[in-house]
Amino acid sequence: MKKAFIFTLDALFAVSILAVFFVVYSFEMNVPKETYWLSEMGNTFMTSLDKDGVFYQIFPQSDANAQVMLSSYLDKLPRNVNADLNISIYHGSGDVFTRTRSFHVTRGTLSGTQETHIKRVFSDILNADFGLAELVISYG
Amino acid sequence: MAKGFIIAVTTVLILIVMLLYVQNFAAKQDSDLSKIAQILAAEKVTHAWSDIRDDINRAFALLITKEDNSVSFLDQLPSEGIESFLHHYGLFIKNYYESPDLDVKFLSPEGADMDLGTLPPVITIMPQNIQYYYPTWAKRRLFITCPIENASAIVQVFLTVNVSNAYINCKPVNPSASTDCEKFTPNRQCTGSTDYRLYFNLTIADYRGGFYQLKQNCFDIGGSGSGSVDNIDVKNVTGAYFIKVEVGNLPQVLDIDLHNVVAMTNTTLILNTSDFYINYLAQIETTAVNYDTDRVDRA
Repeated sequence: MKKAFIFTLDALFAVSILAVFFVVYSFEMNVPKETYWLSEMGNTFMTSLDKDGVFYQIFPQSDANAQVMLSSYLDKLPRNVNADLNISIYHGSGDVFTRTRSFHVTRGTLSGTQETHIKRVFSDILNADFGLAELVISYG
Repeated sequence: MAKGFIIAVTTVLILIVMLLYVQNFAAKQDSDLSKIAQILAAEKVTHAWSDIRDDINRAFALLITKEDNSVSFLDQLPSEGIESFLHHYGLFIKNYYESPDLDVKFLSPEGADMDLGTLPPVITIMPQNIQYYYPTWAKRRLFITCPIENASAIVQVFLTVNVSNAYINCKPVNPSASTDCEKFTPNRQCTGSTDYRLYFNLTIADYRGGFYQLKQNCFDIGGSGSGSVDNIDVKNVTGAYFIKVEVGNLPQVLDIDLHNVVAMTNTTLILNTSDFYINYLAQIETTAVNYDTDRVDRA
């Protein structure tokens, strides 16, 4: 009776550890779903900027105006999201591309983990100018 | 003793059930993780494809719509810098847009790897082998051809030219003008024995609201030599131009030469069947390198 009692406590202790492990593990396993929603949000954001011609509007604008415009769009992201948007404009001549302009706008500080990276390309056909927009977002 | 034994066995059983549950949970989570990664890869590929397609379509300024037995080409003519743009764009995608986990390829309609800069300006309707093409990417002239053995495939053609930099300079739009717009008649009208006939409808509209309309005419397009030609007189403040429209002769169905006129054309071909497909200029293939996920579709 006594031995069985000791054995039961021992076993129950093991089961408890396992249960704690299970709980922690199940919380950890939610990470990919967060990444998925983050990716969805980032792609929707970048696609809307691209298809609405926001990126294209950078070409004729001054650097200062473009910077303000991009910041205002970045502020439309949900409050719990931090973001870092880099845009580079290249001019193609021959087979060589030269970076002619660049913009960097941020909101908050990226977490360093669970970051999602999204790219979009846009172009000015007549002037052989090409733009690359790169967004990194994470939950704040 | 018996009670203790039952408690011990129950505990061990609970432990085993717990272990099995955790194992099952872990397997399910691994499976979910893998599925999410696959979904993310598929989304990345689709977004990349759409991103590139939009840029290329903007460069072509051509929208093709197929509906039942008709196909329409909404086209901006002429164009500037497409060839150079395509060459640079292909290079830019390779050098700056591709990443270790994303591969982009430009394929010919047959599926062969190609340099975008060498893209021929030809769209083909298959299996009838009807071609809609420009001699060069400058898009100053537009041809539609059809092999003589498939000539009956094209039943009717509707062509609308919306001129944006000139106005029509002939009667009846301007009664005092010397040229008569209504002179366009087929060299050979269709008769009961005509083998190769085309019903052709032409409308030319200018930016001032004037228009010239050729009522439907049946053209015999089976002869040799040049077809039926009309030169529609247009002008703007800097000078006089004309739009040449030639109908026939097979394999040529239509030749539209805009000279210096800037226009949006809408060409609709009515075929004798809905059983056809369009070989677009190129296909874009985007692939997520680490996953078995890609998208290949027309540009």
